[in-house]
Amino acid sequence: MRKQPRSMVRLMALRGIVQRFSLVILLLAAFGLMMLAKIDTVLIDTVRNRVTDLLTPFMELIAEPASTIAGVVEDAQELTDLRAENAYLRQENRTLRQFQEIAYRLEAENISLRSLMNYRPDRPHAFLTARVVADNSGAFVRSLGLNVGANNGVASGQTVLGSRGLAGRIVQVGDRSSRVLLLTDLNMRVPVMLERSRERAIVAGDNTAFPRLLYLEDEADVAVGDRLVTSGHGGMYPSGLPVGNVVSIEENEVRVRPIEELDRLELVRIVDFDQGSDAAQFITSLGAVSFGAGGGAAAGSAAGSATGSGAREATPEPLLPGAPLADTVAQTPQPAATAQ
Amino acid sequence: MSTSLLTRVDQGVRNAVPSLVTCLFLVISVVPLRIPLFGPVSPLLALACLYYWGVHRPDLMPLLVVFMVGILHDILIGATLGAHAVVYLVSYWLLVSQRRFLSGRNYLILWWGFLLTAMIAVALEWLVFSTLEQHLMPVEPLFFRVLLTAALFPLVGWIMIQLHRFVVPQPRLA
Repeated sequence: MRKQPRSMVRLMALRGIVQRFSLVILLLAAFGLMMLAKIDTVLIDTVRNRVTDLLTPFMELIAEPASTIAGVVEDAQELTDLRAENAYLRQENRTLRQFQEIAYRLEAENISLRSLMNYRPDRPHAFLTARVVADNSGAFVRSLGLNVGANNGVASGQTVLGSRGLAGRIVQVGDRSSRVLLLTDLNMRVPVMLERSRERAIVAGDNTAFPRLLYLEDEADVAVGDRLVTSGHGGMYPSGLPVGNVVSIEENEVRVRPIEELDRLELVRIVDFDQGSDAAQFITSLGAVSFGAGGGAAAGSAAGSATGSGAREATPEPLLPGAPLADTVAQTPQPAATAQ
Repeated sequence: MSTSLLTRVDQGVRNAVPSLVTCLFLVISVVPLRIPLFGPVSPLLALACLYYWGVHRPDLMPLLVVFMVGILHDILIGATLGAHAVVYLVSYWLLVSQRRFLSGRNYLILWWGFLLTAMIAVALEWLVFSTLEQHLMPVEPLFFRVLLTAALFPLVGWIMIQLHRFVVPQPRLA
């Protein structure tokens, strides 16, 4: 009977100490977690994935109306400058038609040259379309949360594309959610080459909107507006994916504008170039990875007819529009996006 | 007996509202808005919640909850676990230590206090992430982040006042 109060007093005293030093204890716990994250990433990643999996359906629920509101605002903005945009699009259409003619010619030439050289085409790739449910591109981390995960066949390291080109890479995968590290993130490095001069370099994110171009040779032939495509070095990304354009050249700093509007991505394509994933949600395409307005529209329409556990499937499109070419693509195995 | 249990459950749920609302605002702050260049300057909505409850009812926002909010923030944005926990804990501790000055003051002083808290929190964020990444993070977006966070405080504050009035009544004197 007498011992109980004494133990109670001890307990109370302990509680008092814990309360008094709770700030220090919690701060130490936070620092400890930061240390642990540097040492044991598996444990931390498991916890992180579990929580993200739990929250993703909820975030999807909030993201839908937010996306609708953003869409209405965008529509209103577009209505105001419809005339100017129309004129711009007409001009662009004329230019694109010229490019189309050139592309048809090159395509035909490529096909005949390939048959002459007995060229071995790249392996087919598989892809699935996912919705962006969390935009985490704050000042310190540039990443996006997606509504697909390991259950849909997504794996760490897979390439993520927008409707125009490279957007980033999958870095974290839960069962029903995943995270894309964007091209602009501090930890992102992509081996690229300048499409015009074939000079090689590395696009390195630094948390600003325009990543830097590193390891470019001193005498390199580079100009503002030059297009960059992945070089395929290191094996992380296949060659020929559009990355961006050179936007500024200063004394010892070249900056790149990513080809994708990374802060406006709504749907992205996760591409498995290695065919490591055998999940049913991935659609295998024999053609090259295609970009352009058609790509975005196809992804959008595919999202409308979504099936299964949040996975969106998109159908493969040909490299360029037009029936004759589509037939050729279907019959002839295709190399990577750019004709080499 | 059952009435007292019900009362306790009711009070428990009411007491959990500040923590739950802070988490909700945190989740809302990472929903994609597709506004160009918004990401780097996105406001710290959860900080506004922490500030409100820290000034008015710190008993409903214990340090452990502040720590958990920070961890959730790190999980949601994919940052190193613990980074925002440090930011929120230190900012909250500083805030509570100045509570005597802030509590019961008029709205403008509270707003001014929040601007200072937001500045301290964002500066801490910059310091923690620059240290973790061993790279000086860009500073420009942070000014706008502070301004946007402070500009949204009246809205968040208004919602909190409504919650404070209807969901968390002042504790009865017994």
